[in-house]
Amino acid sequence: MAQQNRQTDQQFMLTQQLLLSVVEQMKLPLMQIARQTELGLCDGEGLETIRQSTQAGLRLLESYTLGVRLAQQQTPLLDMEPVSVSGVLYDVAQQLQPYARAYGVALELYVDGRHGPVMAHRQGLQAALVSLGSALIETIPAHEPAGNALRLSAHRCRYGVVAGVYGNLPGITTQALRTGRQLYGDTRQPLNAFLYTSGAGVFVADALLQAMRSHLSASRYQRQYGLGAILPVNPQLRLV
Amino acid sequence: MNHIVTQGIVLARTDYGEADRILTLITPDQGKLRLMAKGVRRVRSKLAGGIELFSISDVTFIRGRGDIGTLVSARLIRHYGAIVTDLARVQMGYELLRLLHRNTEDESEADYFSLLDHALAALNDFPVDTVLIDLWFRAQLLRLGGFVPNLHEDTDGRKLDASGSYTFSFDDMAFAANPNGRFGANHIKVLRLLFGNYTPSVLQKLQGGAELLAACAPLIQTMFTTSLRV
Amino acid sequence: MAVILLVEPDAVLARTYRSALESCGHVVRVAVSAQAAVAAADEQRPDIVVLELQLPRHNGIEFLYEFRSYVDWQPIPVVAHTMVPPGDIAIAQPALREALGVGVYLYKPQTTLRELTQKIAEALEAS
Repeated sequence: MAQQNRQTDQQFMLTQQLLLSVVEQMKLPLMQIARQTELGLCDGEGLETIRQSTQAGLRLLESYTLGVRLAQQQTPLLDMEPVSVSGVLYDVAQQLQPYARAYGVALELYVDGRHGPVMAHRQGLQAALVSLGSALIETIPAHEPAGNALRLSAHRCRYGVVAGVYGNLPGITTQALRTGRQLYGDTRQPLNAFLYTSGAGVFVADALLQAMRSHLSASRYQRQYGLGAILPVNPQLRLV
Repeated sequence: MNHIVTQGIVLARTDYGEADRILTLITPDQGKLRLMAKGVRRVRSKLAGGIELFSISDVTFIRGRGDIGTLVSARLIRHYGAIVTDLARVQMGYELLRLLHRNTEDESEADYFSLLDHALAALNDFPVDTVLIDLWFRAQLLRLGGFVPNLHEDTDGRKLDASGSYTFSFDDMAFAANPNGRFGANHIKVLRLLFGNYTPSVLQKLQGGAELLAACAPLIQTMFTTSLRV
Repeated sequence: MAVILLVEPDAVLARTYRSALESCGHVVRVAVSAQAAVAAADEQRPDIVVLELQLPRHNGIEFLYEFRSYVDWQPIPVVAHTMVPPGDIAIAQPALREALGVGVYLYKPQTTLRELTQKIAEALEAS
């Protein structure tokens, strides 16, 4: 009973910390909207900027809410299903393309080989990748040399399939991610090796993947650095 | 050429002409060094002038004719990278570097290097309170400078009483018995720990520490400003 | 008219602030990181720096210590215009003002474009 209470307390703290991080992150799209409207540029580009900022904020809130719901489920594996990774990545790309354009970032889609379906919570996986993608879209223009390309990609690894977001971001390392998780809640920039923000997008993705019994990992692929979800392939599904 | 290898923590970086930078480092065995990093134009230089701040590096240098040597190479050994994720800790880090720089001579002992190393490690360790680190660092600088208050006997030479009340005499650098005094056994215990051989991480575990530290802070601040260079 | 070095990591905000400041007749150079800001200042000496403290890899305070270590940049006024609430770095405020020459501290979410341009004008006049 005591252990259960401790676990519940820990969950609450994690959720509360994540909420604080999300609240901090929400300042960015809201400021973008406020300053753009103050500028008074109501032409196509200005309105599109406002639209994309609004969508980014809404996506973050939805991903966070989904993560909290999944974490609170007693049996999180209930809604797992065979999922086509390339299908998910395609949908993520569709969602993120306009946001990438607003930041001047070229977003590519690359799937290495044919992957069988993985068992995953489709909605959660898509939300996690959108969260990651948004966070890295915001940050990559702030890196030297000038970063303006990101790749959504899936490839095989020892543990299954890694579906993630990659770019010229050498600050994304296993150590940086580990340090970030340790500092999370204690500092404003726990992932400052590669983000200037609170990192809410990354931590929301982390929480979503944990709720799905997957996890977020720093990854290197084709000389690019990134963050990805490690998804086990179910060999039985290949027979279906 | 006579290359010397040592470990160093950067205390300060200054501009020198159009192309060079001068780094001041504290080392365990070479005292305080001033080394020229040649040809490091500010456009190409990494922000830390070739050596990361808040880190310990293996440094190879050549002694110069004057008091400035030439940096040959540097290799990072330990980087207290968590400090830079927090602006307040970064500022405290710079402040500690500045205080150490102000209060050390060129022939400073290994204890100063060790003090700074422990201080940066504590800053890097987020549960450790920054107020504690600041007070501990100042107390340790006082200790190394030979300015340790008498924490065992009062101004009359009597052993400090666990149930007694005291005021503090800065002239005598000791507690004076006073029934209306603000300081008691717990404050004296905290001061003994701050001036003792404990690291901030250990002191962090003190119960009721925050209130006691707040009460002792003015004592240490005043001792510091009257005895050392601010 | 002044040369403003705007240190702003967010590309969308940078565009907006740049438009606002250019419409006041200033020349604006945007730097997305501390290192880029040092390089930009080296290429063209700014009349004023508008600085976000929350930057990737090296934060604004690290930038300021580096920036102020160059003698010819020491007189350049700096306006902090940042996501960091002033209370979050209360401990650093005295050093920001006295040692690092940050004349004005503006909390970005609560600072309109009009207030920003006004504070910049005041800082330029004072310098």
